[in-house]
Amino acid sequence: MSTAIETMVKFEVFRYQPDWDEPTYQVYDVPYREDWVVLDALNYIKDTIDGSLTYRWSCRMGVCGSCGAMVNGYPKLTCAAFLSEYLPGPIRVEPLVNFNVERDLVTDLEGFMEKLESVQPWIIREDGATDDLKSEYLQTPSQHAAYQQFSMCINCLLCYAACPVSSHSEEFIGPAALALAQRYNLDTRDEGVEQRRDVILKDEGIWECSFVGECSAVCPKHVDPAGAIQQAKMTGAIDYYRRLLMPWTVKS
Amino acid sequence: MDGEVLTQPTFRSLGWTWWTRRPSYLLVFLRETSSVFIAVQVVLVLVLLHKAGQPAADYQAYLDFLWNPGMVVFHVVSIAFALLHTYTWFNLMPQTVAIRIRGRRIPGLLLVAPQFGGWAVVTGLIIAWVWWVGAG
Ligand code: SF4
Ligand code: FES
Repeated sequence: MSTAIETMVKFEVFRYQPDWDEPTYQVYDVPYREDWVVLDALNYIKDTIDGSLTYRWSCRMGVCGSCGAMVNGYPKLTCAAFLSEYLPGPIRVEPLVNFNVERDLVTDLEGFMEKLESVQPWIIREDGATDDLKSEYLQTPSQHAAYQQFSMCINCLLCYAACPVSSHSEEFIGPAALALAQRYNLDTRDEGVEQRRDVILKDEGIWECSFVGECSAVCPKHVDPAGAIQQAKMTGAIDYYRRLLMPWTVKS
Repeated sequence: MDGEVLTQPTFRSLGWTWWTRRPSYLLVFLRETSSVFIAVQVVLVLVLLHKAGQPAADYQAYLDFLWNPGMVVFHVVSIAFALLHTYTWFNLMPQTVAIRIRGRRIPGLLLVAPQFGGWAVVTGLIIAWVWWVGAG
């Protein structure tokens, strides 16, 4: 029998249920394991201490994007946040900021879904051939490389939780959705630039971004949404002057 | 289910003191705040140019105003902000401009170095000119 004393780590977990007036923090002691991530600790709490704790997760390997939370104030994928980085604790786990909380660590994604849809993040063809699965649209490796980085997004929304603009403007389309808009605009198979134009260029689009850049710093997939938005601003500005000075070069 | 709203979602924001939350936020806040100082400086220079066309006494009065201790402190703070703004701005360029050659993005240094180089050259020219005018 092992007599070694287990190291315990204190967790302060944000709790909120729909019929509560106020959220609270609940403290749990979790045994420390070198190979555990915050998600393992949450699963431990749910399995052995408190089955009512509610949070999202699925893949446990940084792919599904569902396990995001604030860990000691920073947006993180809980499946990629090792306990060893937070020793000796306590480790505070809260839902992603800049979203409404549904319950405990679960946030409401409805607003984001609407924003995402508004930028039409799919390939648009002028000939309307989007549904034609038989057509082939060739692309060279360098054409693919032009947008590849922006296509790595897993919709984890850590970038929204890092963004002070999203914090103060509910309407701001935000980093991930604007990066995806840029991803499709840069895709040589896509012809939807005009259709996305109004949404991207409106006040709540790229121009509301003040280039804080923290979205790119927290992005687990190195998407660099801040870069995507600045590049879109550059394209937008060039396009504006082209329309102004050389209107004949613009297709109506 | 009768479509009744079952949740009372609570919105959690970074608040108005967001810029105090992390060093990286604070740096951005200072970078953006610097614009105010730079704008005021531009106004002061425009007034100076205007005064240069006025009677000598007016011009001298404005110069005296610019030399009062408050104004000197303001200019020292402004120059610090201007340097911060320029430095951070130049360094952000590789994120903003994606130039590709044969499918690969050119290294950020190629975008940053010419800006610092140009800045050094222009600063050198201005110093040389001021020195030349002062000497002549
Ligand atoms: S851009 Fe990065 S941080 Fe934002 S949702 Fe996509 S993967 Fe997550
Ligand atoms: S559980 Fe899928 S990204 Fe963390």
